[in-house]
Amino acid sequence: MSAVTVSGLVKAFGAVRAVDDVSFELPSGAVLGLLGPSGCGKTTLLRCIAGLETPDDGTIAIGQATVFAERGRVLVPPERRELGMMFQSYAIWPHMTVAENVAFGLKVRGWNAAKTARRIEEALDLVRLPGYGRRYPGELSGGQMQRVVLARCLAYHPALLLLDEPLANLDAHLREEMRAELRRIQRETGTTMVAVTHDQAEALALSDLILVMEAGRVRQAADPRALHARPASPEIARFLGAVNRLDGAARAGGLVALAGGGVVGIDHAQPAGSPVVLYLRPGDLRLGAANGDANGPLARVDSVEFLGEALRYRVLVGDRVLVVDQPLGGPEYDLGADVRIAVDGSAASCFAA
Amino acid sequence: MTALRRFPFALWLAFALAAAGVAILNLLPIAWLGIGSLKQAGGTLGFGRYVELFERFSFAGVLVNSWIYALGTTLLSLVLGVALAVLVARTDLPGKALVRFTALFAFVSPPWLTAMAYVFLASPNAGYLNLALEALIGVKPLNIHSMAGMIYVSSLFLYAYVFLTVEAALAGLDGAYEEAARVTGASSFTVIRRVTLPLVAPSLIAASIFSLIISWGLFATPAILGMPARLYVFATQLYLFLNGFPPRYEVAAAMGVLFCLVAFLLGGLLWLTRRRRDAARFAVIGGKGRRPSLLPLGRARPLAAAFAVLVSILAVILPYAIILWMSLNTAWFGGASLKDLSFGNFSYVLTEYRDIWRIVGNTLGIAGMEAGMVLLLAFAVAYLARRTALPGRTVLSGAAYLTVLVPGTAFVIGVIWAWIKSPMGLYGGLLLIAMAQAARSLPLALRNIGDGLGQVDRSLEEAAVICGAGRFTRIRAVLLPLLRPVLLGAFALVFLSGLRDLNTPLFLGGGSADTLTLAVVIFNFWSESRMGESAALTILLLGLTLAVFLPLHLFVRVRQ
Repeated sequence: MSAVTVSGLVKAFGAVRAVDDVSFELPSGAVLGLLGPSGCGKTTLLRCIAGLETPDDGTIAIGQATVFAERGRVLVPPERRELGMMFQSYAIWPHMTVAENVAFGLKVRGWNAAKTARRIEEALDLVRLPGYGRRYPGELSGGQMQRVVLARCLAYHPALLLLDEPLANLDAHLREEMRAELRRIQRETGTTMVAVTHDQAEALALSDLILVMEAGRVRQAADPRALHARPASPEIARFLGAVNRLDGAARAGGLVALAGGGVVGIDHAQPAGSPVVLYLRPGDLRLGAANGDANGPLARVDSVEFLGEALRYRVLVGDRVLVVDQPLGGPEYDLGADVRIAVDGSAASCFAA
Repeated sequence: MTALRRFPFALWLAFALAAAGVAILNLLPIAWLGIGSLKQAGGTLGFGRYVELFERFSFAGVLVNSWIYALGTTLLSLVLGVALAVLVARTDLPGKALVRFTALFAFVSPPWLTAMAYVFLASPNAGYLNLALEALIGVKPLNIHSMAGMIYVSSLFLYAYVFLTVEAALAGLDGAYEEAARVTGASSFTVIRRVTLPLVAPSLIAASIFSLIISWGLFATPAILGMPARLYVFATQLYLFLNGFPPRYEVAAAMGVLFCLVAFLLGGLLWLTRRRRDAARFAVIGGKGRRPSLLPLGRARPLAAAFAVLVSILAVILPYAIILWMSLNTAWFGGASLKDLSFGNFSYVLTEYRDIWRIVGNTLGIAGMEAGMVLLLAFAVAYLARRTALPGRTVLSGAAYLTVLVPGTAFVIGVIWAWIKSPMGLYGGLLLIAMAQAARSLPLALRNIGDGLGQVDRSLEEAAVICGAGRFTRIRAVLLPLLRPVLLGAFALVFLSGLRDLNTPLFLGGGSADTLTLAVVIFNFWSESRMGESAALTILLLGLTLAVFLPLHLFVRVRQ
């Protein structure tokens, strides 16, 4: 059974179509990641599902219930859609205690005091904040607030949980911790989720299905592994971190002759003789001695940064810049040194030029 | 039809009620002001009253006086207010609390109090300062019953408005701009002149234009200081028209319209400057909440401190001291001495004077009704304008703000015209006075509440929607608790200004004993030269003011 079904959804602001003919179906208990650069329409799509924006066309169904259809002739207001939503700004009510925040949705639903109290305790246990009920939000850290929001959303067992950049306001190490927590809680409760993010690592880690959006349209829908291995377009490949572009020509046997010299084998063959472009992540390239036997083109070291676990080189192939992350312990090169690039062809995304 | 269907009935109902409220309070009197001014002798419509105004009532002279008075008051208020605002918000001036307190106090205290106090201090023959100066240098140089005197005393009230506006803008200024200027080597004075003031130019312009409009409507000061010297400005001339025999309502309305035109012109000017200036150039509210470092005054610090203390003394301390002194004095002023001190005035007004408790009740009742109406209407209008997409919401909030552009005394003329023949018998009652005062204070409350609403992040309400709360629950459980300090602040401001309003009950009460308020009785005592009683009632009013102000102030403090 699908938990969310969206078809042909359109939402325009003036002349800009922020959501442009979007369709997808999400099975119950799964997590959908909406991934894309800022302004791609992912947040608008989320707010349309929530009912905070009214779409212009298309249909939205949550569970069995159609909540939007026929250009607004069917329009269920957000308060009756049985949703939970985590806002980027947390949106914890500062004048209520943690318990009152969590209880709000229960009170609206007319739960009695004993049942409410029990449920507050369960929800706070679930997010690992037992005993925090009497505190005010002002006394909590960012990570704790995030947990309170989660407890507030999940207290009334919503059919669907929407997350708007859920981890964007956290420090790097907290972000990873909360990401794992979100996954754990999702598994334990079996809640269906739709999460908006601009961070590919977050999307890959959280989601069962990812929609990559650009300019209001869905450019690719895939599970995380497939998306990582086979981005559907050069734009998506770049967005997913494959910032290095190498031009070449396809040869028979899954080989590509690179423009700056060298031949690499790739996983997905293209018709022999056709011009192609390869996209690679910084970690899929290595630097070797200029006179060595690496399979890629010659390059010159333009800059180098120390990243901690690796050295990040920017090298010039002709006038094109490539970014190479060289693990520590390998050979190191000075500025201006000539090097030869080793290309991990199996990691490359290959497109017809 | 689509618009009708898109919004629930309750929202339309709220909109209709708010619109009706604004129309009755604001638009009806303004419309009637125009209509009244066109009623000629013999019942025809035309511009006859305008001609009459100039030909029979030497209106040109009043016009010149009014301009001199308004411009002079605005200029002096700006100098005092801006200087103090910069000193308090941006420099290491000592004693800032005193300056802030003085301004707040000057802003909520009745303007006639300062005028009365300066009559005691600087009237040409018997003023204490003149007597003291005569003993020293042999002449009595001061004459408060003059244009200079009126401008001086009015500025001691109006500077507080400028100060509060500009200081708020300066306090929100990102300190990095000034720090950047200092690091490049500019002196404190240069920083203020070249960086600080240009950055808050929009609020300076707004403060000047609103000061001008407020000056046009001031009544108490020119009445107490100008009328004895036959020096008439707009508001006092209106008073003559209404209180002469026969009352000349049509000529008064014509005059009111002329002054509205001036105010609309000024308002249009403000709107133009707002529109034309590139907003991004003034986007200076820092989001980081970091306290800026203060500009050092250096050797000018004692001088600046002396200036600040002097303003406090002249604007608040000295006037209140004098009024207190006079309230305890039963002898004719000039000859007052320590042995004449007694509570005679108080015991007279509290026990012998007719109906004092009824008058206190009237005063509190009017202020209470006014504050209630204003709070309800301002919240409704602010909410509809900022939290819904209803068509017509901008027009609604524009109409609610309109009275800002109508000088106070002119508006009262419109109220008289609108309601004098009302079938409900509103005219001559407390409710109508409260309504007229409410129309005057609606814009201020609307601005405060609207700003407060703007600071409540929308996601706080959206989170409640998602949790399943309807609009009513959202307002009750989320919005109102979050806005409580703002609402209480607005209530206090409106209630206090309602307590001390003189023009409205004086012009609308029609001399009836049923609608007397403390302010009107104080003014009447003064007109009868019963200074001691007048001063004693002023002290009583001050007591009422503090009894409301202090608990609210503390409550809001504790809550925050």
